Amino acid sequence: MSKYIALPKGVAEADFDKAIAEFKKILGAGNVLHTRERLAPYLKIMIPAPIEEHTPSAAIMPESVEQIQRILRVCNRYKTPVWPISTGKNFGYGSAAPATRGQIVLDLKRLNRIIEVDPDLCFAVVEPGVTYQQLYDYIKERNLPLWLDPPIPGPVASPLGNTVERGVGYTPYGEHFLFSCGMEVVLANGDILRTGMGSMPNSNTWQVFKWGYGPSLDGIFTQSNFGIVTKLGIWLMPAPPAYKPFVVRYPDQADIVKAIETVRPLRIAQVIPNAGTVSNALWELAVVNRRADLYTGAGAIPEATVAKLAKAHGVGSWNVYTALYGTEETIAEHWKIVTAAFKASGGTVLTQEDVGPDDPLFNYRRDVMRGEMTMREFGLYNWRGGGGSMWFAPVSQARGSETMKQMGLAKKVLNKYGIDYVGLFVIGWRDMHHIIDILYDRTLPAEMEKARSCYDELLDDFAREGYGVYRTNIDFMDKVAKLYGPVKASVNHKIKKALDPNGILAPGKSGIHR
Amino acid sequence: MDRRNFIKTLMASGVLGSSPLAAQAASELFTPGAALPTMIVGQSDLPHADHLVARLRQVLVAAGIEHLHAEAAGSELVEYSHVAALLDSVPGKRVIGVMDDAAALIFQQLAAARGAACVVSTHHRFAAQEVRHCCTSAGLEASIVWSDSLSDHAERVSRLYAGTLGRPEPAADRDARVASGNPARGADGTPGTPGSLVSFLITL
Repeated sequence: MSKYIALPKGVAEADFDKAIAEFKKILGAGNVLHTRERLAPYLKIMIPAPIEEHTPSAAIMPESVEQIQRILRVCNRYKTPVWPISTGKNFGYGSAAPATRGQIVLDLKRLNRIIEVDPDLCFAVVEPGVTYQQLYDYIKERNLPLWLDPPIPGPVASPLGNTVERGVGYTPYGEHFLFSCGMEVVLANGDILRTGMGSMPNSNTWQVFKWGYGPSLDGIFTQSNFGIVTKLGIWLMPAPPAYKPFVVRYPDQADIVKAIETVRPLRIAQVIPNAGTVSNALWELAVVNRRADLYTGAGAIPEATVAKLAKAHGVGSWNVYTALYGTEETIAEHWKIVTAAFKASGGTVLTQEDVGPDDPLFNYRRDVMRGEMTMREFGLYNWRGGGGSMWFAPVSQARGSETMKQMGLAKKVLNKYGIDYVGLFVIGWRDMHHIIDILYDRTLPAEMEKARSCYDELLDDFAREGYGVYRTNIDFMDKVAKLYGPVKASVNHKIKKALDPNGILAPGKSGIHR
Repeated sequence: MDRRNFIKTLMASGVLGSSPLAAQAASELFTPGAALPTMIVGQSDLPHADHLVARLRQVLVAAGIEHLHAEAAGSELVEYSHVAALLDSVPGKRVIGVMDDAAALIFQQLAAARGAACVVSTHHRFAAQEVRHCCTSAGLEASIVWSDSLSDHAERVSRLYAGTLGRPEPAADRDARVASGNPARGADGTPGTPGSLVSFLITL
């Protein structure tokens, strides 16, 4: 019986003992955790996978790049894999737990320095442990006219972590990787790579020009295990002089077609510049209600009931939340364009004045679309209760017919498993991130099994139609990698072998193993 | 012995002192600052939470465990600034939270960012006739699951937390209170309605 709660695959306990002893020398004993009690925060997941399959062997907490380099030397010596996390708030995708059992969580929360915020060029350079709240407070304290773009877990999430996972927010800077510029990456052999202009000695253009010279490498360090990103440049939005959020409500399910056909040209032309959302009625209801208060029947809530509930609660079957940004004058002109377009499509356009000051759904979207820190969307977790949530997130073209098709595909599978379609589309420039929250009671084994099978089937059914997810959880990384085809897998494997021959960095991340 | 019997045995016999929960309590709870009052944070607009907090406070008083009580609405418990202020106001190291799933996740995450450890966390699922509990603890390899009738669910859970804090309520007091019953059933909006709740004990 091992004294550890898990061991890395293929590593003898005696070797692991030696590795732990060396980590303690590098970091101090207090920053090397390996008892069940101390590892508890890394064992809490919301996805329907048995935690035994994702139990880490230890967690170690460096506070500098130099310590990371020393850690990697030990890992290479004893072939002990590490699973880097920034703040570990990857809720619904696996939180802080590793893809495979026995990996050591490399918790980077102590690397929490804001290296620089440039108010003229509007960028920041941050380490992995910096949270959105920390950066927000820094900007507010200095009264800098800059906005952030937080994702749903906002205050507790890491800008670096969310960006390298290719997460999204809701302002005009919503596609986070697109608005990043320059990475510092520690490679498996301890080398430090600075991407783009960062490779030039004495360069001051690292955060202002992405490409540098030769192949652009930043992308291969996102959703990957080719290196540990220890610094990231992120572009910040200058606070606009004026801001006008609004919601357009559509009464019928089929109106998703009209909504998307209306919003797409406005988005591509940048009349509507932000990554707004198109949420269905159940998403709206779930943020501020408990399911048991609205419906107690078996299975997924029937569509007729959803329609009645939507009407009773004053939400649309589809609800487009977006905003205009600029000066009062430019917004006034754009407002004429967008209201004409949405009204012609049959939507009801409402502003803050129309919904009143206390509409929690409107106020939440108003806040996130201007980069405020809020966690109100966590209300989704009360819909079913029981701590289970898993995001299914296929990408769709920004076409009404495509979103309609995806909705139909999703509902068919979700209804089969008795799971509600709680869905939303994030409006990209030419794409939609279709985000479905699979909410279930994680304390019930039968619900866990249903949710897991449902996700599996969703992946298959969507793949048959040519749709892939933009991100997945630790339990399905291998499967999703296979769905993207053998050539991509082979290229990933070759890069992995070249950069990390011992496979010490996050084996299994995005389906990439040694 | 199944898990339900296991927890019943723990609770009825007062052997929490030798249970993994108490082992965890010993390692996490009795540190400098542990002598200061435990803070109970309850969600004020959730009847199930109100009911459990009320009983919990009675049990802690009977067990001689000093505590303070703070309340917040669900809408406040999803706001960073409000939760941060609550955490700032904790006098000692121990916090018991009783709130909905969303609030519990946020509270625990913000506390964890300050270095807090979760000692015990329990999901409570309220159905028409019973309450199902699923308790996880840092000291346990697997969750403990059990069900109680609506009439006495708060009793057992309260004693779980009192026991984890180290001083189970004296049996005489406990039995007297069980015999007196409690207002577990009622019209809509009372603890008799379906729903979900989370309680937890963390150390800062």
